[in-house]
Amino acid sequence: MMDIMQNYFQLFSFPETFFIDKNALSVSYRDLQKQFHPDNYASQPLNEQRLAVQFASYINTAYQTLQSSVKRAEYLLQLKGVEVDHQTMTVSDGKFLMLQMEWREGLADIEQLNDADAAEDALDDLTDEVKKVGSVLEEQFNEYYEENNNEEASAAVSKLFFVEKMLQEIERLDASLFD
Amino acid sequence: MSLLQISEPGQSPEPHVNSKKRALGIDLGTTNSLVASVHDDNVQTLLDEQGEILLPSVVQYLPDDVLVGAIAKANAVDDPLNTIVSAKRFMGRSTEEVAGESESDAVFSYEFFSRDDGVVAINTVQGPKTAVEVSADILSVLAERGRKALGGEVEGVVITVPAYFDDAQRQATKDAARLAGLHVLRLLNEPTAAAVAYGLDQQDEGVIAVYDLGGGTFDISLLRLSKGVFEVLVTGGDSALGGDDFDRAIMEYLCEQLAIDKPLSPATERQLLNLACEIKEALSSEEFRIVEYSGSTVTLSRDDLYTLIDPLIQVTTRACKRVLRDAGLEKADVDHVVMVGGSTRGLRVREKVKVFFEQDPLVNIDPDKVVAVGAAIQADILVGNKPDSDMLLLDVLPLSLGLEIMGGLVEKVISRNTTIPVVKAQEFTTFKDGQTAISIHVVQGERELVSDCRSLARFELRGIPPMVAGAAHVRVTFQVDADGLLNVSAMEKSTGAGASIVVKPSYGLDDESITKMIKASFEHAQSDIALRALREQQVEADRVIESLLAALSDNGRELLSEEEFIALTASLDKLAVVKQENDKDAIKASIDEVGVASEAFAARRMDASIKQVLAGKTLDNAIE
Repeated sequence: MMDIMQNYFQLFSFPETFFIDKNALSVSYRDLQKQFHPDNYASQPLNEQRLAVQFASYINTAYQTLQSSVKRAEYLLQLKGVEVDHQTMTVSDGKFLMLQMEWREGLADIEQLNDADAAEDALDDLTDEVKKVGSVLEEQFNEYYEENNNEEASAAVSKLFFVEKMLQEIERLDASLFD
Repeated sequence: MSLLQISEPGQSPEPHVNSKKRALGIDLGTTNSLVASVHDDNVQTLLDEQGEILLPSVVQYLPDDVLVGAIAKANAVDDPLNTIVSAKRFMGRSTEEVAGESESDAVFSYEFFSRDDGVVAINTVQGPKTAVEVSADILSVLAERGRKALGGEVEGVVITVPAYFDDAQRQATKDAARLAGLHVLRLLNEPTAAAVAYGLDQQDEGVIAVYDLGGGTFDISLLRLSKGVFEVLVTGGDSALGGDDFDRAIMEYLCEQLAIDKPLSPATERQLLNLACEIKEALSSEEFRIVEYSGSTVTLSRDDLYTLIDPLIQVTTRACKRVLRDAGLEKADVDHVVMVGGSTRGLRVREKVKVFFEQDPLVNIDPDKVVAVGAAIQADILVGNKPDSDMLLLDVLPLSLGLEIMGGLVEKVISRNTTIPVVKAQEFTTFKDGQTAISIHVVQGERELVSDCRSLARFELRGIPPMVAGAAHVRVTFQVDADGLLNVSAMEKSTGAGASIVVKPSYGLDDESITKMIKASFEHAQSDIALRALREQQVEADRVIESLLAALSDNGRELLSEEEFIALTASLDKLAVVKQENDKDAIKASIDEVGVASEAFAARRMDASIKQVLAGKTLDNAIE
């Protein structure tokens, strides 16, 4: 039952590629939920209501995975049977390690700033820089993935995870400046 | 149970002419509640016999009577201890939380006490009453109003809750409905309901901000509306901030100016709060208000009022900023701002919201009614009256769900603003040889420390086969349904043994308590509890039979073998017979049998519709 639940890309009728059309993904997602959301089963037999909750949950997870580039990358590797190790991979790349330390120091410096406007500007600059590195990593991942170089691809994913974590930390600091 | 509304002979409305099912949308508010339903594609808010739409959410317990609404509200000053207002504010809350609040700003003047299970109750002449019971009494009156207006038993209701309600508060709302004997089709978030009420009117596309300031709660939500799909992007707010706090701020000012001694007696406090509310309303049309209270006078200007309430309004605009940031949107991206809740009638609130969003907020639907209107539209669809409806509501989890890990820290399992329903699994292992149980603490909230989050439940996973440390892998699955309610299940992976779960809701009522309450409420009304339980099972049996017959006639012949078809039909026939026999346990057993017999059918139907959808899509893509 529900073999289709094996693969998120099949679910949305997308080819298994890293770069995808996000608008088309949203459209496909809404179409599926229009069909399977539990609201459509509120007056259906109980067993079907239960299945609808499970299936709608699955659609939501699939959508959230494909929407996020880092999760999508990780998922593509998973489909090839490659599990990404989030912790150790980034450490082996000395250059990236330096970059991580720079960013963290930058963030700590901004936290010390007394001028809120200056802090806001500095945060914007840092965000831009981190995002730029992120898109370079995405391109790299795509290349390695297409070349079946799983080791490098998976290193790129763990770096992307760090990029995302960094963006979250920036956001958190931004929030505390805001309030 | 409803004692206010005694039907007069000959007064009942026309019987239902078409085959439409009766469904209600209920706005169970802190200050006022109301009910609406869809009639010939028009939404109507239903009136009581005095022609009133709003039912004050006030319940007075008398030695042998229960009064709900305006009468109870009028008696609140004379009988403050037995008259419960704003019960919604302590739905699903712990005694400590409520006590903490009443200490800091004396929100409630009742005699609170804590039940053995930690649930807050209030001492009344009718004994202890929980917020769930008070809410059930309000719901009963509204349901009765619905029954009379629609001319018969109601099949299902949609009840609205603040988007910011956590699991315990949602569960409490559902429990109240159960206590009132209502079948809940869905708990719907108030802002989503408001967006539905506006969105369907205007056939809009774009981003809608819903600013909902009620008596006791504040919600701000951002939704994207596209081709009938209402997708909640983010939601935020404060589940303990509302118009009541405005009144309280004014009251504090009065006490100061009039040198009224504190602590206030419950009756004085109620009196002063009513006065404060009056002043607040008067100052939207007058520049000054002179107040007389036991011999002294004090003058309040509009500016004084603004000084008192501006800090509270500012809390709300700060929350608006936060949700915009969470959604990654700018103010300019917001196409419409919708105002909901009685407290948005205040001119100052509208002014501040306008300044913040840099546009005029929409107020063309009465802010008191808009939520019930949206709920009624949703109820009409869910009950099955609109099979061709294109509307879909995609809501989100308002607060992150997490688990306690070492050192009293929280590990997030599902983060806030995740679209629901959602399922997440987490694996646990044993850390001692031969360990057969793991205890798990589920919390809700955004903070890093367990002590700063809401404790939802503690689970004990028992029956793990004894193994060396780290060998057992227990997979715990967290399922949040479309009502935003959490369910947890667990399985030991290596052996496939299902670990049993003992759930202890931290502040909720367990099943047994609810059954007891149902029983108690019937003893009070001197009705037959057994009859009610039987009736409940019969209604459930009807629901099962009806839905399965429809499914069978749809594609039963296609999806089932002759044998299976006969077996399932036979189980339904049996249920139809057993249903007549007035034995509730037998009916329950028969319903369970049908459930088992129809499991494969349900799975195949689901499969069939998936194939259908995917086939349609592949075709589309091929054409493109």
